Amino acid sequence: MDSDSSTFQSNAPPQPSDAELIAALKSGQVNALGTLYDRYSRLVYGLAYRILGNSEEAEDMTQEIFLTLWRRDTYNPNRGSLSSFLTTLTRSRSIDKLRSRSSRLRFLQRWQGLAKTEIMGTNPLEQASLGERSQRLKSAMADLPDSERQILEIAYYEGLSQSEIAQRLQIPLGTVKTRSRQGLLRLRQTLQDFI
Amino acid sequence: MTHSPPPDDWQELMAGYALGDLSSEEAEAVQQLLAAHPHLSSEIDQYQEVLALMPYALPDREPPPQLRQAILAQAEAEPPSIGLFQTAHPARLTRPARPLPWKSLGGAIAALFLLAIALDHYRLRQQVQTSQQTIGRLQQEIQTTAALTAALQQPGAQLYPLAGTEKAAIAAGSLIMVPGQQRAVMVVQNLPTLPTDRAYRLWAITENATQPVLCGEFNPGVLNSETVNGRAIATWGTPDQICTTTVNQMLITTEAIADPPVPRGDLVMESKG
Repeated sequence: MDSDSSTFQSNAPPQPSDAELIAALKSGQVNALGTLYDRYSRLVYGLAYRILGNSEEAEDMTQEIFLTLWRRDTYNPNRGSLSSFLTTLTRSRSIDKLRSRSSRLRFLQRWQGLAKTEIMGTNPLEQASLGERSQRLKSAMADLPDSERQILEIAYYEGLSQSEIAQRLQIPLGTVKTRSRQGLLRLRQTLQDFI
Repeated sequence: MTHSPPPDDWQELMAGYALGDLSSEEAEAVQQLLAAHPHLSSEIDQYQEVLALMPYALPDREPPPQLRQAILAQAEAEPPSIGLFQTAHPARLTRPARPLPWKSLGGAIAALFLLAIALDHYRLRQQVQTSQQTIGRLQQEIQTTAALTAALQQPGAQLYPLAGTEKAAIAAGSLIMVPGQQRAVMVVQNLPTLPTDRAYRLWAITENATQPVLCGEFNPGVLNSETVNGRAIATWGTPDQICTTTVNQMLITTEAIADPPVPRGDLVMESKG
């Protein structure tokens, strides 16, 4: 059940779907990589920049992610959206890089579930344009109470554990857990028709 | 949604699962719930999907225009999908070398392990003198080492060197079992990625059990694992306490994911010593 984005683009000339581009990629068409880059490079680069905090490393990471897509046959369009695959991969590699830079040596112990997102089902959000998705997510995040959004963002973009977040914000661990879970519940509710 | 949602507190547990912040009691409760209602795993999928969408809310940031060309030129120079375990050397954008984040590493077992991989690092260290390209790879190697060191430093951690059988003659790796966290961490190379309906399964042979005990499954780059420079780093929670206790030997077989927890497939790797 691929999401075929071409059926949702009425005015523009028909665009190949992600699944079609991935198939072309596998047959060695560099053009397909270019189109995917045009489609997702801002997302990947923006996320890498947010986590790594500088443009040099964000560029390196963007290059690494797209070349991984080119070299390795690990993405399966039938098992999840390309967008989720790319954000999950970018986040996990960027946070690994962040950790290798710092003295923290924890590894892959948290967000195990997130790594699994790589093989999750297709989501209808894929059918919206990049700009629409961005608008929708910005407004969904803005609708969250500050206290919940802050914790979700620290956990997602900095990869801190709940107890590290509790320490940083000087609030009880239980509060961190409650707020992050409530925040995620709320976010899902807001995006219900979109996922 | 085609099914009725679970009660509120279960929703929070599922959110906690996606966030990775469950206590062990909560994790157990989720496992039980999923065993009783397998369809609820789609709830977890949704929370994970929501998290994966968060980056769309970031400010719009355009990568530098030359990056596209650099990536496409590099792709032109390589055939696609060359296989997971062939090490590829991306042409890095030219920039000054960054310092390597070596950190002090402690622990006797860790030191032994580091010694074992030192030979592998030697070649890379040679290259770093002549090429800045190698910096990125080395950092990842170090990160791998750091991850393993961290696992080895856990109380009671067991290290099992793994070697390929004739079915996977060039496969090699190391397995670390961490009792306190009920967790397995494994680094393996030259073990091919399996089709997505199959996986490698880890089995413990123990004196206390008549049958091999299933200790988890992985598939390089696909299931419970990431690949870094041609090595697969797999990690997962072990399903049975026996896996992290008195184990005589660890075995790895290839099995269909849908198969029951009994080893039937080819033996591809086994622990030594």
